[in-house]
Amino acid sequence: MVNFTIDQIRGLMDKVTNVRNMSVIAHVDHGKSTLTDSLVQRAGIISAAKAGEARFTDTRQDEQDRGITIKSTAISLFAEMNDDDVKDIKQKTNGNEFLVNLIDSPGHVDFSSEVTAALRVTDGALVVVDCVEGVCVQTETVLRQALGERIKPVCIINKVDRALLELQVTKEDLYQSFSRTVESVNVIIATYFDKALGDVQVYPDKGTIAFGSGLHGWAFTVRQFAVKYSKKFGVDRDKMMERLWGDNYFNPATKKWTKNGTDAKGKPLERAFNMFILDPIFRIFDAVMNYKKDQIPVLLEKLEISLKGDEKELEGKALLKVVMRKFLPAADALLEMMVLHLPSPVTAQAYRAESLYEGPADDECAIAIRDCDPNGPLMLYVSKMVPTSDKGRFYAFGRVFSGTVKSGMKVRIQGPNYQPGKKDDLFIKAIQRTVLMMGRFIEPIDDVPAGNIVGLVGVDQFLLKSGTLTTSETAHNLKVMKFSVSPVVEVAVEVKNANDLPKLVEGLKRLSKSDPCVLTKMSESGEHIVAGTGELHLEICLKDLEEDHAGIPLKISPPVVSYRETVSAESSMTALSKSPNKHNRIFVKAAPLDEEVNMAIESGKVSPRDDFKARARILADEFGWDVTDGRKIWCFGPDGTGANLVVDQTKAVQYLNEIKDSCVAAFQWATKEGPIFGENMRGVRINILDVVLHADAIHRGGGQIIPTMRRVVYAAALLAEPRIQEPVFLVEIQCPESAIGGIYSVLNKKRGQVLSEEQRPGTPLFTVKAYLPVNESFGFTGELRQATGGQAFPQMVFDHWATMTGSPLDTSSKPGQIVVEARKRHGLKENVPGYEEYYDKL
Amino acid sequence: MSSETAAPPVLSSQPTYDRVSARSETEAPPREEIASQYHLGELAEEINKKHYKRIALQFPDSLLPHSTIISSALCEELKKKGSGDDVMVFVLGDTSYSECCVDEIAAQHVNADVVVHIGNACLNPVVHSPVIYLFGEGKLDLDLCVKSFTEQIPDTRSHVVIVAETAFQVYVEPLKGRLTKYVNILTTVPYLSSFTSLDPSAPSETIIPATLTSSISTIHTQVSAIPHRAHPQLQTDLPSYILFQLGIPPPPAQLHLSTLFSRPPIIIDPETSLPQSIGNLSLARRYRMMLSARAASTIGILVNTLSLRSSSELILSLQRIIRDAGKKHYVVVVGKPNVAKLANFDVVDVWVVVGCTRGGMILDREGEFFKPLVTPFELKLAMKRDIVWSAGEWILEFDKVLKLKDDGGQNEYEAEENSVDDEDAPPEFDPVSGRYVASRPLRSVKASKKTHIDIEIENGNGEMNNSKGSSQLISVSGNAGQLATRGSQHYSTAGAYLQSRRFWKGLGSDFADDEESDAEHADTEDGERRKGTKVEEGRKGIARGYVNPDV
Repeated sequence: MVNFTIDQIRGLMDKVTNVRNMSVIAHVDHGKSTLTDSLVQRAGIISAAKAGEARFTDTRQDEQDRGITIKSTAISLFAEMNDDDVKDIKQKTNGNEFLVNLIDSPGHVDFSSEVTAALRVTDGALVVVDCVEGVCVQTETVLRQALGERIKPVCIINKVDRALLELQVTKEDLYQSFSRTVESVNVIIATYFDKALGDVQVYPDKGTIAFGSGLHGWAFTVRQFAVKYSKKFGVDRDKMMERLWGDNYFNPATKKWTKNGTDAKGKPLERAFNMFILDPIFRIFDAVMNYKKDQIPVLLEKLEISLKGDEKELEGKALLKVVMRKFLPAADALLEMMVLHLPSPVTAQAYRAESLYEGPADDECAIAIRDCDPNGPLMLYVSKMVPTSDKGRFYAFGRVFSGTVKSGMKVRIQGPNYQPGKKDDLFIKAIQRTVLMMGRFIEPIDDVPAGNIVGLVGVDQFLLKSGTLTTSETAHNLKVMKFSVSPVVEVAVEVKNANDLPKLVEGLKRLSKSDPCVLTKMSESGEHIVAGTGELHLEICLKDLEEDHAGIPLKISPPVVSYRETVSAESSMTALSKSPNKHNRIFVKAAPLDEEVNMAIESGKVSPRDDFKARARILADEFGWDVTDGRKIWCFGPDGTGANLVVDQTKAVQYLNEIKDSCVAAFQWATKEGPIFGENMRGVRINILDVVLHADAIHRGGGQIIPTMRRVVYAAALLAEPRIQEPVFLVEIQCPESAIGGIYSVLNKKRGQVLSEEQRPGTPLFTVKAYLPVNESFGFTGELRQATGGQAFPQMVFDHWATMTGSPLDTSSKPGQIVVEARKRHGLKENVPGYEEYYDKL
Repeated sequence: MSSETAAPPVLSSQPTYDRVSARSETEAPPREEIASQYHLGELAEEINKKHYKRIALQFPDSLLPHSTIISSALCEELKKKGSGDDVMVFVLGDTSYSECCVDEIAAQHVNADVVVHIGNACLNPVVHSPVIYLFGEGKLDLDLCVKSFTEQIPDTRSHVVIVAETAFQVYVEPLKGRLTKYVNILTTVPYLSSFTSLDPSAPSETIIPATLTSSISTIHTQVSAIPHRAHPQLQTDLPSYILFQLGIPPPPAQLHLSTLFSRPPIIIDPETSLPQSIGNLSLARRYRMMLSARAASTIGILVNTLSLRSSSELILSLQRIIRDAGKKHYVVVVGKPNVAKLANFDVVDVWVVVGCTRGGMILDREGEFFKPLVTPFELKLAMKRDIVWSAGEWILEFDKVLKLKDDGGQNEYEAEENSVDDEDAPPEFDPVSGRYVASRPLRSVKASKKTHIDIEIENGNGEMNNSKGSSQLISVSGNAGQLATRGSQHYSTAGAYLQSRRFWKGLGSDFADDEESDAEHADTEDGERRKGTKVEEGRKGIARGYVNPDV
């Protein structure tokens, strides 16, 4: 039975200090959905028997079938804490009832964008780490993203049952394994330290780490045990917590605490953590799994666990589950961590506001966000679209950062390209209904105040993936999300039956709405392209497209990789192009941008929407730019946001401002379709050195400037040792030692580059990390499985763009061949035109 | 600056942008051959018969160097045939739009009775001038042609249809004669719409030499799906034939021909007499263009002809469907279009080119043009409510495009608009960029019910005038009412564009910016602060020769 009502939840929404918005994040298969189940079970939505297996938040059939989460799913839960715990909360609270808005996210690297969308609307994160596998590549990725969004993490070390049952470790080994995992989590957290967020490293003795088993439904924090023992020993609880972790020992003979691992006689002492926390657990496991029937009732009595009628009949694992769940219910430990240590929206928005809002920090919207003010102007960020049962319609899923959203309220819908004062990407529309997202169900709700997560009906037609909803006419956008992954694997889709075309286009629209990261576009040669982050992502997208969104049979091409065009040196001479009427001349030079700058632009650290002075400061301080150059960036490209820049280095040119629009338009065009094979350009800086313009405005119009600027950009790029860049995956493979040889041979064949090979301490498993060009990754998993007898399974995540060695203009080189092939496919002449094609002599 | 006044600005297109490169046939044929090669005798007879007095000779650019010789030869020929002294022969200079079309406008300048079109012709009907077509004889190596034919089509029972560019028409029958082994060869002859026209007002059209036309009545009875060609009755469906084409048609015609046949056409390059590849022409590319037209909010109707029959009806029909789709249109005439001219109109999202179906259409194959260009057929499909695309069909002819059914999209939109009060209509998904675009700027304006009063009136005029000619057409497009801004019953996307999208707002705007920033950062900014310039009297005059004020 559901043990709370929507009215109760609605009531709690107003007490925003008692709300916790949190996402569950982890590497794939570390047990997020399973852990989430124990919370869902606590709320009475699913029965205790099913918890751990139902994976309630995996709402799609294929998620259940494959056993992986694909879409993030939100659920609101009601929690009641006892007064004792409430007292320990270090932020303002109101009563002992809490609302936990929880989002379960996918762990597979291909779906990282879902995690990003989940993190944006939450303030805290539960990081799940597998006790056996430890910190993996995706653990690091999601943690980095969380910290980037100023999300406070708490951690749970999951699957402790595996360590006990499969690996049969000793107590001290288990402690060491725990502390190593904690250490590696903290190393990551320390790397991405953010001043505004403060120190958010996790410590067992502060209660920010739990240990447990999602499958068996139990978990504990050091604090829980400290509470129990502090009563028994009559010691202060905080002191007890400190003693129960780290190098603290209890000498039972002297009844004294000590920091030394040995007693006076040099006999080793047992660590307090092992003695007081692990010991009871080990004993239960020992008794139950070894069928020591006589010991069990004694133990149970000691631990104050009473079994019900039919539960007494159980034995083995089933009994273990029941006993552990009664002894240390997972939901208690998790809720305690969330409520005690994760920030409420009020707390979180105070430090998140500046990183959330694009506009000035002192306008009414920024202030309302900072204060989480339910009476301020509405500021709502839609982070993703959730399909409804009504085909083709979506709930806009988002977070109210300020104000209150009501059904029937008229709002301004600002898309990602909206700029204040302009009309692009702006729509005014009434919200039809507001709903509460409860996993696979929804509950209607009248209004939702600031700090809460909400689903909206009726705005999905105006936003493709994400956007800002507001009531203030002066509001800027909430910052657009930046994804850590990039859609670099493309396929072309075609209808089998020409009459199905409208359905395909409609399907593509629905597909791009339903996934935060998938890209649909059209190639120059007129094919519909679907681009995803990896093979699995594409597979799921195409399956959805074919079966659900479009519902028609499709022809799907083999996957190809998208490339980028770049330059590797400064132009060997000044490129010059004359306008068609020969009366305007543009002189430019191309130069490569540093990879750090490219990444700063792509991650949004340096963006076209920044104030130009602030941007120049960052460029000068962090990337060694000249400040005047930094201030004279004309534009980014392509699409006004990419990692190519035009820098005005002219001196005293008359009418220069007049041609800026034309130059910007031409630069967007040129960088969108580069000179080598029509791919996007990346990392190219175009310095405009001089411009000669006709004195009469009619002869320096767009028609004269746009083609000329495009030509001169091409000429400059071709003169600057052009190169092409290919996307590269970071691959992480966990395998036993025997499989390593096979891994190396497959990697070698595929142009892979091994970064590291480490043994995980305490396990026979090795972790191999390598770079692998995306182009070579197709079929990699299969080949790896073959070469290692199915022992190695890779995780691949887009890492960076790598410049390929060799000139793309030389058809005998590898990049040259790629270019020739792509040009053929696009129906272009096979040879890349020389710079002379675009260069004019003075 | 004074150096610039020395050379007048070149306003017309530059060769680099003008891909209609003329093949140089510098060597003029010997005088005596001219008469026979161009059938001048026959031409003179025809002129005398019809009593034409003022004769305009239209040459393609490549033949202009020979125009003097040919015209004087014609004069001699005319004298020989005993015409009066009052016959005057004019050579028309540069063609206005495309050289395959009859340039009526130029002919009207000299008040010509008849236009003699020399060289390759599209045979598209014009509005009023009588026309005599003189195809000339292109150079072609028949032996190599036969060789290519047998190589490309080894099966002697294949159904083949031979079509020639008009200049190579004379080779068609000889070629067939050489290929006796092939039993299913079909030949085509040029076919003019006036042959069957019952409309007495339609201008007369004649083809010289007469031998090419005489066969029409005998065996070439069926008007073909191949534009302006006739051929005997088909034995099977046209698509199952193989097209053997002599001479390279312009890209739009190539694409059109390739859609008519199920197998790719074999095109013989007259330079080498060898087959030539069709290049990157594909309907998929056109599909992409069509979709970009769907996402456009402002459409430029680029008028690339003033003399073709039905062009004004077509323009009016395009205007109507664009308006019905809630988009804005501008009608633009730029002479011969090129990249630079079209790039001047940066508010236009997509161009629709209304021009000769052979030489006047532009298929932007190299991606040179700033904004995409579509054909009227594609635009008609694009303006429909649902996404449709022809399964292999690609129509160029104006008449057929006009006959395409509109699918009452208009009513649908109006029904929607009635329900909308002050809320915005949802944007559309653009599959080309994968984004949402708001592409119907007129929709909200239309909702105010004061729909385009001026334009409706203009429609009425247009329809009355449209059969009469070109000069009225220009007056139709010059509608001052369309320049008003939002709030009145017209909405100008160009005005909105200038107001919101452009950084440059005209002289003085940068000056205001400077003042503002100076006031704000008066103490922080250093040498970068710029002062506005003092207003002083500048130069006067036109671009080619300014008058400097007294110095």
